[in-house]
Amino acid sequence: MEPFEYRRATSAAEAIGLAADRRDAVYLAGGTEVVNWLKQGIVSPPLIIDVSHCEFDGVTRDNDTLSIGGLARMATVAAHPDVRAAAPAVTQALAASASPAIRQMATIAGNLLQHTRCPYYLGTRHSALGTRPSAERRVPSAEPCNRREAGSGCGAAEGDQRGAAILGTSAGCIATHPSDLGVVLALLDAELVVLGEAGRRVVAVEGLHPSVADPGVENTLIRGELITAIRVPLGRPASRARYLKIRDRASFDFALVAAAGYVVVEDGVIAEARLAFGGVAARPWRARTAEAHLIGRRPIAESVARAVAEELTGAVLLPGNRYKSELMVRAATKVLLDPDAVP
Amino acid sequence: MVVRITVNGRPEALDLDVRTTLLAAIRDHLRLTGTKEGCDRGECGACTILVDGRPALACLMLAVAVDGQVVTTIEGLAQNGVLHAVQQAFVDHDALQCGFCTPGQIMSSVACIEAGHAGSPAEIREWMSGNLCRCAAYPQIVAAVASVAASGR
Repeated sequence: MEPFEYRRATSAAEAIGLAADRRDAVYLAGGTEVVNWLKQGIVSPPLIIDVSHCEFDGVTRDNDTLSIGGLARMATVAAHPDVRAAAPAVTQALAASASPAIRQMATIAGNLLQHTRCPYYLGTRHSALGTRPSAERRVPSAEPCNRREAGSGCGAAEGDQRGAAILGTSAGCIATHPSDLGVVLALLDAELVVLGEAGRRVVAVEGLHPSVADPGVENTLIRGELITAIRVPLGRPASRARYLKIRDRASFDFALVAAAGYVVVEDGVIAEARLAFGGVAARPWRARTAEAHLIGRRPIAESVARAVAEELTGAVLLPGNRYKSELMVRAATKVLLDPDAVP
Repeated sequence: MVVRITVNGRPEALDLDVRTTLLAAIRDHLRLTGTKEGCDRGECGACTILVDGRPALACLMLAVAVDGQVVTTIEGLAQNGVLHAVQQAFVDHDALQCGFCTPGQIMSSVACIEAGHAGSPAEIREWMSGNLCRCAAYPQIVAAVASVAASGR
């Protein structure tokens, strides 16, 4: 870990002010991402601004919006009665994330700002638990990764592709975004309230990441901006949607493929549909093409398979990750047509 | 930077490099070596402690960031030489082999039981999933947790 200056902010405004003077600062909230980045040399900022003691961490509900403070802990949000009642897929996604201890530490905003777990990015391909960099030294990834070091190449492109993306990929990067929550938030058209030096703005969750994987752009926030709140529109999508995560281990693992969605059936055909996927792109993937193709179809597996196939037009399937296309069909079929069976 | 934390009921003031993790502060500066360093990246649970009563991974926290907070480690569970009910249950159920993951397992067990997530073996396994045991003593660990939860201690 490189040396850094540590400052503790007591409010979002104070944090923004500290960052304004020092544009190369990194915010620290739950620490579950940033402390690992520091250890692994993924970031080595001269200034860490600790926002974990600020108070934008509440959960409130009015008639049509659920508002979640950026610093709310994952466990707090998952267990919140208003969240469970009005947006159960948010609870499902959070409960399927990480481990109980990490959910007690990690924040909602930090969850959306996670970096990929691509082993080439993390430099952990050679051992289950990875090599541990010394506390003093910045250690570059031993693997080629354009996201880690521009121009170094993409190790996954011709290497271990099992976890890699199939949608929205680019020549330089096939990383996936690891957030479960983000998939549900994209499905529900959630928005982020972002505070920066220039004031407050609202960003759609779908707009937080580049539409096509860009190894040089982690997210679309402007340097120094903080996510102070997440707004989830309430109503039928929030109450009906479910989240299904498919992973190698039964618990405490990232998604190979995840699906969120719901359909409304009227007169024997699908009248309303929403669908989003995780584990398939460098961002939460809202499947708008599939949604459009579901309308007017019968609520049967064949309709879902055809809609997902349409969504996959333009997908880049590699030998090591082409299985994800079939997993997407199966996950979508279950979440859309048999939601009560989704745990 | 001076970091003031209360550890197992005792106020401590440590002069630390800001890069020091809470895990290093506990083990190397306070010499409380019950808390283990396993993966050092939040994947194994060996360093699980309680911060303000909530389970936390000490390897993923900077000590400076918990200045002013209350920490409980495995050494803080026994009272007056009597093991905590969960510690005793791990002994009674032979819930360990090498013992390296055990302090983290026990701290997570305490949090799991207190939060009311120990109602069934399946629930215990889910809520203890952040603690890996390479000796695979999982059946005995689940039995130990279930026994304490059932006894209401």
